[in-house]
Amino acid sequence: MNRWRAALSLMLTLLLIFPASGCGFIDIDKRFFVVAIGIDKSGNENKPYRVTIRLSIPNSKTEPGMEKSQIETIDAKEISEGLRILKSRVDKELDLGHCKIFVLGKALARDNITNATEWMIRRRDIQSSAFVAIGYPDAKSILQQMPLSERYSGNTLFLTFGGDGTKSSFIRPQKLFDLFRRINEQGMDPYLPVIEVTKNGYEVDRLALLDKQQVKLVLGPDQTQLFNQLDQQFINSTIKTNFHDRPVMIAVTDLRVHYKIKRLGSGEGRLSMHIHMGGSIEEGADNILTMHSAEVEKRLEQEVQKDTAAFLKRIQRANIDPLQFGLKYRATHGSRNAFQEWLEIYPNLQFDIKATVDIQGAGRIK
Amino acid sequence: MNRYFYYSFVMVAMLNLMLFVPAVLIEQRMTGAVSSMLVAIVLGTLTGYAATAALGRYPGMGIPEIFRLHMPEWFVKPVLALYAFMFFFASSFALIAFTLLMNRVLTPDLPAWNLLLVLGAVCIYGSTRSSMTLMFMLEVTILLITPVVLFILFKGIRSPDVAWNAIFTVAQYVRVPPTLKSVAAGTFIFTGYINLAIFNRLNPPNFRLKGRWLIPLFGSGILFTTFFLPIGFHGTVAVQRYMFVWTQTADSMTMNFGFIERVMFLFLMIYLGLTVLYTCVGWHQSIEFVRSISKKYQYEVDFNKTPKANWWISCIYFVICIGAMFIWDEGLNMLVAEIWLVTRMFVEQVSIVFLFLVCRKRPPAVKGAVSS
Repeated sequence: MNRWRAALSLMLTLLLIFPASGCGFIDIDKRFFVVAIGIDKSGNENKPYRVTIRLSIPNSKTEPGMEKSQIETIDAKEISEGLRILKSRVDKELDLGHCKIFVLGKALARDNITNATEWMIRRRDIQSSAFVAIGYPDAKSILQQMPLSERYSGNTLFLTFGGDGTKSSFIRPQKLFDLFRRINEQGMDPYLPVIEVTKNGYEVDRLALLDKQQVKLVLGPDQTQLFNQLDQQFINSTIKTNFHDRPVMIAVTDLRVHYKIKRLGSGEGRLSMHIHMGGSIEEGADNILTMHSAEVEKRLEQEVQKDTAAFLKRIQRANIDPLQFGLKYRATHGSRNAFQEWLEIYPNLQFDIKATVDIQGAGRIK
Repeated sequence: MNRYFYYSFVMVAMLNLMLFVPAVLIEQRMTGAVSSMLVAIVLGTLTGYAATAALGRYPGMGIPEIFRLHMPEWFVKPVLALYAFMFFFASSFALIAFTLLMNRVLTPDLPAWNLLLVLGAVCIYGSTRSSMTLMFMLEVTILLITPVVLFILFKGIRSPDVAWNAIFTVAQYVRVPPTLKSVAAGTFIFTGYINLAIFNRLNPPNFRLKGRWLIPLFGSGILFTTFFLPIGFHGTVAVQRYMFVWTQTADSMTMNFGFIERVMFLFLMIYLGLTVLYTCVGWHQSIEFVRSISKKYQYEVDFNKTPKANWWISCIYFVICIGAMFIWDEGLNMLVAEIWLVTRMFVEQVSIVFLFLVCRKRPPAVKGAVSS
């Protein structure tokens, strides 16, 4: 009995050793970690994609600006083929597991992003929560930029989008799975943040709105912030107006947006939106809170209503729907062809916007 | 012994959270899955109540013993063989499907059967233990795993990335009549009570199961999460384009301040534990059913020396799994899953109804009970 048991346990142990021989394991010091990938259009018809990768070179010291990166670029017929050829140019195995930034070139984003997105989402080792953005003027120059304060390769962009470092109401990150969802969804269109190169780093304060394939609109900083406010109810943003020839800025700390879509006969509809903002004065004339609060609030309300209406009309004219109004319509209207109805309604949709602004404080001076 | 029942219920519900059930339901999300889930909740709860009520009359006896009390031997033997097969198939299928998934997502360079070799070896050891030991193993594993699974689920539900409009949109399809496939998938969540078939042997006399209202509560919670959360994350259209939708959903979440940023790895590790546990418990019950086919078999709920028969049967299961792995792929996986879910539901529901009717009669002369 004992012998039998010993034999069996030996057999099992041998079985466990078995797989170790066939394993494709590669040590960490024989791997190159790709921290960012840029995809551009090359302009060459035979090899339409220009793939750029940024490889992190391990450094014993982690000091700002001391990090090193290696940039590799290739033109290829397909993105995956490009990566395979790039593998032959470096001495280590490429590892995409830490790649958290995908930059699409401006030209590609103006043409068609579907193939690039499908490639990213299909590859099992790319994180679904990676960030996707558009690079101006192209993706390669974004990857080549080495920001001064970067502690390790790629970290500046990770921090910009991740929300751990800077939290700005002008930045709107887009994650890969969300991009894929929006490309496929009926009633929800994708958007991508725009990255530009500055002297010491990057500037990310604009937002590109896409239909299912390509860029239709690029929002400026103000409308990007408004988009964030309307959609994500991003608090810690600002609104502004003028009073007594001086600008008044309100730091918004309390923000609620509600809206309803109603169908008025065939091809007609109305979107009633109510925006409530509360916050404290950051800049402005004296004694606003104590003496002129009602008047300033009224001006701010008008300002918000005007800006919002202009913004909504702008996206309506472009016939894109990044604020998921269509999905909201589908969610609240049970009929089977709700989406068809929505497509008919949207071009003629009327906007009825009401805003209330509440000035809650004035900071340290009155 | 109340808690052991709920451990096995929780185990099955959580395992099915990601394996076959969401795939089937999501495929039919606009053609009847929502109403099917409501039907499944009612059906699952009813069979759960019926099974526990029936088995509650015979504490200390498993299905083989109860059947022998009432049924002729020529009937009992094939039924036990069928049950043995069902338990074997359920757990081996889960193991193989999970191995495939692990292989695709985590270790693409490794042949899938290599991975199965390691997992299977663990399952051989686990399943040959005594019923008592398995109960304890169940308790330890579930207590370790459940908080993490709930953490991931709550993290998902609370995430700002969830598009609630997509969830409400799909919920609108509740008016579409239910389908067989989706009902079968939905009831699989509730099927944890089935493990009482053997583990009822461990229940002491005068045992009464308390807190059965937890069955519909927990079951429907898991069922709605498994269906709606991926839809919230991936929208009403893209959700169907994913091969392993729950792995994808876990990958869409991040833990910024966790040791591992990608939730997916945590999720896979937790489900690795759960799958191995499920397979151990399933194989063990299957072994007990096989051995109970012989009328002379005297079961022991706890033993010091593992019977040889356990080893042999378990090793045969293992070999069958390895063999199956060579012909298995994702296409076959999905096909078999659909057939399996429906077959399982019918076998289970018929058995439960049958058992319930049989047990309505007072036990004729229960072994050990002194008749006055």
